Amino acid sequence: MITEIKYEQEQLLPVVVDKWVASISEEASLSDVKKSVKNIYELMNEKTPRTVLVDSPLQGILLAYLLRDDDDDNGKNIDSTTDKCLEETINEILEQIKDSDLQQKILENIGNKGNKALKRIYDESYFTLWDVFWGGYYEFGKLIGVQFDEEKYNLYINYVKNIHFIISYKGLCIVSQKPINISWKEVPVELNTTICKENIPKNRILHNESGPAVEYKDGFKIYCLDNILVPKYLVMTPTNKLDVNFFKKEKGADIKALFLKKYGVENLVEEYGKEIDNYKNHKNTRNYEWYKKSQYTLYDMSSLFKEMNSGRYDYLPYIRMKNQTIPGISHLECTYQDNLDVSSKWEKPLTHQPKNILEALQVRNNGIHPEDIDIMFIV
Amino acid sequence: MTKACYHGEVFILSIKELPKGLKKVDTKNTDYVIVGLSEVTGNDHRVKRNKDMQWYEDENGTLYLVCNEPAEVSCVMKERHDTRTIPAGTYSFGKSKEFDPLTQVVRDVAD
Repeated sequence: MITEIKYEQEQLLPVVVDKWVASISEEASLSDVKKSVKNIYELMNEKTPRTVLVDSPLQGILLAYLLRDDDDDNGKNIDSTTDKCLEETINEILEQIKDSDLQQKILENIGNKGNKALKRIYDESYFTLWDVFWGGYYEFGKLIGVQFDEEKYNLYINYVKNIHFIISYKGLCIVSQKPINISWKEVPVELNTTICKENIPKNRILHNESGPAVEYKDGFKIYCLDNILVPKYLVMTPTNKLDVNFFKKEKGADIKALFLKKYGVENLVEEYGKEIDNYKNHKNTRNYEWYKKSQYTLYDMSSLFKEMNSGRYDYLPYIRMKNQTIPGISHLECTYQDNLDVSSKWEKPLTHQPKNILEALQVRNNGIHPEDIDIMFIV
Repeated sequence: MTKACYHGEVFILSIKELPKGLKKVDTKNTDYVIVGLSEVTGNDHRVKRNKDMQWYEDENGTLYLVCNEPAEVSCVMKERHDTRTIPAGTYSFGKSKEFDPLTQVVRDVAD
């Protein structure tokens, strides 16, 4: 039984991790992919399916979608239709979806009716990418002497190495080739560990400020900032051309925060906001130290929505707060109370729009006043 | 004084007792219980399950936890929000609210 890892073995940790990270964009051969699919299906006591290797996960999803019967809105019968589809049909469809422009045209025409089927196909697909971590983990285990069932070990390692993305049906298995480019950003890693600092592997997240973070051979691209999936617009638009309408329409808090990081939250509040209150005015409160850490500030941002205001919002309170985990990130959330009848019945009634950070937090907490609680942490 | 904490947009409130009319939630086959589903980025907020935990849900989908040991709260993407531990006790897990001036709707803060 292995009870400790020697320093020389520790030194292998970053080597193994770097190798597996690099493998994510190393092209897999069709023969290796077919072999891995065959092995996995055999393990499930299923006969070997036809295997199609496509250039990207989107191409794979569209192939499955276009192979289904026209009246199969939910995508429930794709298993049986792919079982009997002809080789020529598959090749014809691959020709239709061979690059990202053609893929976009098809996506635009799908509409609501096809979305259910698309979603089902996506839900039934699997990114083996997540298992790359385990591939490295088990390989390191083998290197330091852990005993494995060799057959199962090889099957798993080869599967993880060759299969990037898979949609598996009885008679057909669609596998996506790996990306041709991946862009990473190194981030600090904090581990409670006895491993020597120099042997701790690099921690990486998907990130590219000047292009796609992930790119496939057919032109399909994924844009990420700080590991968050973002629209292409946010990455590719120069800072001085960013439109605040993006911030107004976007629902995702993390994406909005990334917009603010690029646009500059100071710029947004300077241009459109009027400061109403900040944490410094609440030094004698129970939770002042937490308000200070978050740097809570209340702004009236009504002029940001002036053109569609129609006089409805002559005051629109937004609370700004610093993200306690990620440096340089702030969030800006609207704390307008749309139903004062409801808030007037809260334990601590609020009969007007928030005029200070405490009332704004009370709205954010759905009625619980921040001075009525002991805050344990904010992250 | 009631204790509370914020894990991103998830508002965790320590409560004295469970409200009436809750439905028990079966979490046997999961390593983590999702307490804040991420609609946008896949970065769910979750509590590491242990066998002593009892989970409940109200008619609005709000989750409640009774735990006799400290519980770990984390995100799928650990670099977005730090992992923290809450002491043994009874808790409700709500989501922070935000008004959308465009649609004029109050919604949960989306992650």
